[in-house]
Amino acid sequence: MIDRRALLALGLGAGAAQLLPVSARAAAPDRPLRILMLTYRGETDVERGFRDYFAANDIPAQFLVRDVERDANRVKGVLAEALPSFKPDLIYTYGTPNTLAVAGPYDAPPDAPFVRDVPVVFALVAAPVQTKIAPTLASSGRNVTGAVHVVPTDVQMRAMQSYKPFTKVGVIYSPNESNSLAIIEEMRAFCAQSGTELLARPLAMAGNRATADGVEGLVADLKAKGADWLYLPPDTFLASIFGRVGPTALAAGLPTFGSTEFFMREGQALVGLVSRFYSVGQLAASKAAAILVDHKAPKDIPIETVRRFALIINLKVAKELGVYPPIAMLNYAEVIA
Amino acid sequence: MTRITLGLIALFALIAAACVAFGAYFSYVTLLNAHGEAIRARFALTAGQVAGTAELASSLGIALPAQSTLSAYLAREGSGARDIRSIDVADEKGAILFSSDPARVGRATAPDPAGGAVRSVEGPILNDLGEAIGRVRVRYDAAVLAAGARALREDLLPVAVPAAGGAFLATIAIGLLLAAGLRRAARDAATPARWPAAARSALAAVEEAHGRLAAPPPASQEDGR
Amino acid sequence: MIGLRGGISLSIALILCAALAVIGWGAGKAAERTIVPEVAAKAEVVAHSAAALVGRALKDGIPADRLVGVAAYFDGLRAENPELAEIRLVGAGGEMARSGAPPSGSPAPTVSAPVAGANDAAGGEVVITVDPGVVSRQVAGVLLDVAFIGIVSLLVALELVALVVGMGGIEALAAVERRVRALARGQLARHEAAGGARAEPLTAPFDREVAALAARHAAARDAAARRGDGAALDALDALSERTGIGRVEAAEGRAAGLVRPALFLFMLAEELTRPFLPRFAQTLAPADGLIGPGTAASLPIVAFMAVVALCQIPFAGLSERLGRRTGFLLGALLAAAGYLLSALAAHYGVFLAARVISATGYALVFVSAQGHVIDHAQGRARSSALAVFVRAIMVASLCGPPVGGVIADRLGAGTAFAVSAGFALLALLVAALTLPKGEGTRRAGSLSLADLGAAARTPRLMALLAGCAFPAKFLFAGLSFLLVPLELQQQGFSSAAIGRFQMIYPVIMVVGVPLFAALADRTHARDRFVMAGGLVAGLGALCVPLHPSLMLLVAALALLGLGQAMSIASQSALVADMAAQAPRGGGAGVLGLFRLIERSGNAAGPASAGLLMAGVGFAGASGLMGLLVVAGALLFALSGRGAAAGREAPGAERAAQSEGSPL
Repeated sequence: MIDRRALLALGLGAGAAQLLPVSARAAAPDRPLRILMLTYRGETDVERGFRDYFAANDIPAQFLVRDVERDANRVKGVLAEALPSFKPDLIYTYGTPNTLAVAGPYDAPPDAPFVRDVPVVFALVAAPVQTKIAPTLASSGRNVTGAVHVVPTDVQMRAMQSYKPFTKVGVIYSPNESNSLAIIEEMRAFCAQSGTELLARPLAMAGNRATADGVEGLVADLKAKGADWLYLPPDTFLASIFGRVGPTALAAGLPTFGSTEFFMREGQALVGLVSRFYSVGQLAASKAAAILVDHKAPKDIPIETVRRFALIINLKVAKELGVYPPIAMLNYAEVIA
Repeated sequence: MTRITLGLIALFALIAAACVAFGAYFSYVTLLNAHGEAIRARFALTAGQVAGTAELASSLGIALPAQSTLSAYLAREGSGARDIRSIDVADEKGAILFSSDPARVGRATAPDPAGGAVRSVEGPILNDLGEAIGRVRVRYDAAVLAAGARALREDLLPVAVPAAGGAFLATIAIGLLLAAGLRRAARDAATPARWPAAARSALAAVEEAHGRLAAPPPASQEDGR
Repeated sequence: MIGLRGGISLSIALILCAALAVIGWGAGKAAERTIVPEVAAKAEVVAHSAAALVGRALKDGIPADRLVGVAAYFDGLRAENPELAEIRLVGAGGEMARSGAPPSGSPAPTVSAPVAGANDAAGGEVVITVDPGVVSRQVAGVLLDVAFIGIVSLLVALELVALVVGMGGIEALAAVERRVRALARGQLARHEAAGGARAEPLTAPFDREVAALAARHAAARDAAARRGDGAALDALDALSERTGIGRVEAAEGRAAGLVRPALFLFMLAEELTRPFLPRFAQTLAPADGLIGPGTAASLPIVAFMAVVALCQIPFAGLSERLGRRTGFLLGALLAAAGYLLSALAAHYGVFLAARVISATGYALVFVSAQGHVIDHAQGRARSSALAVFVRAIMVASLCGPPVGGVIADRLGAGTAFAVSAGFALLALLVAALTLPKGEGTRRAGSLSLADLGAAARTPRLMALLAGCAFPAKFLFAGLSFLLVPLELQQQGFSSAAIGRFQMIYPVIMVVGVPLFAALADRTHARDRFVMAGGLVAGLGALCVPLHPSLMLLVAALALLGLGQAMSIASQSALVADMAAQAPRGGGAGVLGLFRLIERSGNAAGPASAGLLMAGVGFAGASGLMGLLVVAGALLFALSGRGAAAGREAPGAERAAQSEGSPL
């Protein structure tokens, strides 16, 4: 269930999930609402949460799903095809690359070819301010709002420290994802402040796309350079190649810390401080409903972080690595046996 | 005169006994408070540990309602701990989110009636900004307090009653001794022969001087001294 | 030879010491039996909790030899519970983790809890060693409280004995005692007839003896005078001087002391409220946030003190017109009504009004009692009568707070106010029975504003008042009545404990005032004592912000008491000097101004403390107030440079008793 305070912040009131339709139905249009969903790597729990929210609140909606197959460059083509034919009332975007491909940065020139007349609701964007999707979380100042799904970077670093203190932390990221770049900067700041060292390794690029080529080498290199942890940022592309990263790290004896639920669910990351993707989808859906049903302008709807996080420890991985959590952590961590 | 003296002695004895009783009662109250404090410290310790754990989790961004791990933790802390009825974690509005007694989850934390069979200690759960995001309440059996009060009474009464009685009797005894002494001295005062030494020597000096100076024989004046 | 009354006071003191020591011993035993096991129970809770956590880790599949952070976890537990000397995790293969070390010396008690491992197999145990030193310190703290209670009981008993002795109805005993005691000293003077018919059988024979002696003495003297025998006359007079023969001793003048029991009871009523009043006021404060918590606590105290200060001068005249007895009764009745209203008050405004009513009564009682003593005692007798008067107030301020604190803790603040009302009514009853009727129709000489204005121009008076008299009371009232109770309450101290902290100041005053008064008189250095007193008094409070702690708080209160004890008698003596030097009748104006400004400090202290506390916190408020006192003392010192020390009229010792008000 979605966090109630998130709904309160939207002005929908307590128990909005049930109460909203009273006003909503009155204002609901005769035809079902049309929502274009741009996914990145097929349907995930995020989309499930998004759809379930509409169903649970009896808001009739028609969803058109287009997957970009891990390549945000395909967004242009999808839009060119779907916008005229589907005429969406709202565009849902998954991840930072998709969102930027649709709405562009807020400071883009007015003639840049981005969607402006259709409201955009994003999910799974880790750092909307740093990636210039919005100038502040309070308001995008334009036709965009959405749900953030990660805990602030420094909090994640602290969680990592309290599991196993580090002097060097490694990170692998896609150099073309502005979201990841922003997080690397935050990590750098944290490391400078705490007297630790950051070993950042960008993925290789093929043209303007990141590739998985040589990622195993990056992991081995980090281990060789003495990294105590491999941090897995909310990098949309990295998530899609985690099947190669996770086992390599495990084999190298490098503990991994996941920033999103995805890394935990795949079963290879040691520990993660993550939100449930399903909740992220629901939070995004509540924003979409506020736009479509309550007719609020997206710029008046603050961008919010999901409030429900969990510290998840993968004990199977811990056993394989021989890196166990301090016992006090067992009082508040969820343990996957 | 005798009646006044005896009445006064009785009054003094009563004051002595009353003040011993007063001291004993207030000592009892002090011990009772200290004992209650020690008991509350035991439960406050548990409350503090729970709050500390919830705060740690909260500082990692895990909202209090999402700390589902608390259920097992509270159960672990509550089971086997003496005198604990339940450990509740409530949100800032007072609705119980987690409890060592699963039946209490979802209820509002109503304060246990004063003087009832259940007492509680509680403390806030703070976020990183120091704002209260909820409360921990450890509810315990009031019988443990009553048992302490009983034990203290059992220890103090056998000491206090004889002490007060002793003070009463000792005051009477000393009072009577002093009164007897006074009475004897007063009776002696009637007879110059039985006056105290200082008075007798003063009297002798007076007698001598008066005898010598009141009607001096003319001859003695010439004799000189 | 000590008399029955003196003897019994001394005996009661000794008997009570013994009885209370027995109670203390019993309390110690009881504490061992109830509190010590409770500390062990707390250690058990820690052991249980730690064992459960380790068990959870084992059940999750973490191998026992790979447990992480156990020692750190134990360290954290020990940091929060100082009585735990050592925590160990012991497994099948021996010790697996340890925090701390066992206390050296005597064998220390241990508690343990078993760890249930995977599949509920035995996973070892958590063993905790309790530090007996910490536990015995905790018990010692409790016993110290009990000792305080003992002292209070003793003082109350002695005050009650004094009350009984001071009451009428025992003149006969006093008459007998006086004669016996005179005889023991070798004094053969006649005694004024007193004691009534009941003393007659015991006193008459003696009186006849000394009367006969006196007659003979008179005859001898007459004869010598007739002869013109100067040598004989001298010898006889020397004899009279030595043995008292021919003199008539006056009966004890007890009228002045009659007010003491009633005054003690009345002061006790007000002193009871000290420890819990600030907090009680806060609970009544309206929730709308119009009044901050600091102001809410200080306002009733400020109002009370302000009314008392402002009423000093007008009530002096009023109580003369009404008569001291009527003034006392009326004041006690007013105050009792105020306490009762306080007990019932559910609204802040009502409570405030109740405090003002009590303050009016308090001022009237205080002024009437003081007036009674001054009316009924002259010269040296006045000083000693006033000394007794001051002692009654001091003992009340010693005993009241701890007792009031206990009552408030046990039965609630409302009940404690009701008890105060009871004491005020009791004081009224005692006053009605003891104080003489039907006097005090003399013309009231009230002070005019012009008198005060003229007084203000007295050289150095304003420096003394503004530099020393006002700041000292300002700090005392602010610290002792408001800041300390609120701060200690915040630190989790009970009202009873706070009451005991508030005893520090009067204890030092009771002991220190006569000592320093005598010293100041002997060394002729009143200015220096006043200044040094100010510096000492302010220094403690000034240091509080450096390292806010309980010890420093106690030190600040003690230094305040010490400083006040150093300066108050000399202050009063200096004022008395100035009053004596004032031109034609201006002395009353000087004294009136002194009282007004000194007591204004009582009102301004809590008010400023409340505001400062809201602004800069407890430590900051203490420091700033301390600074004011130190600065005032320095100002006074500067004002005295070059000015010749004035003629020292009455001794500081006596001035202290006639002018220095303890509160």
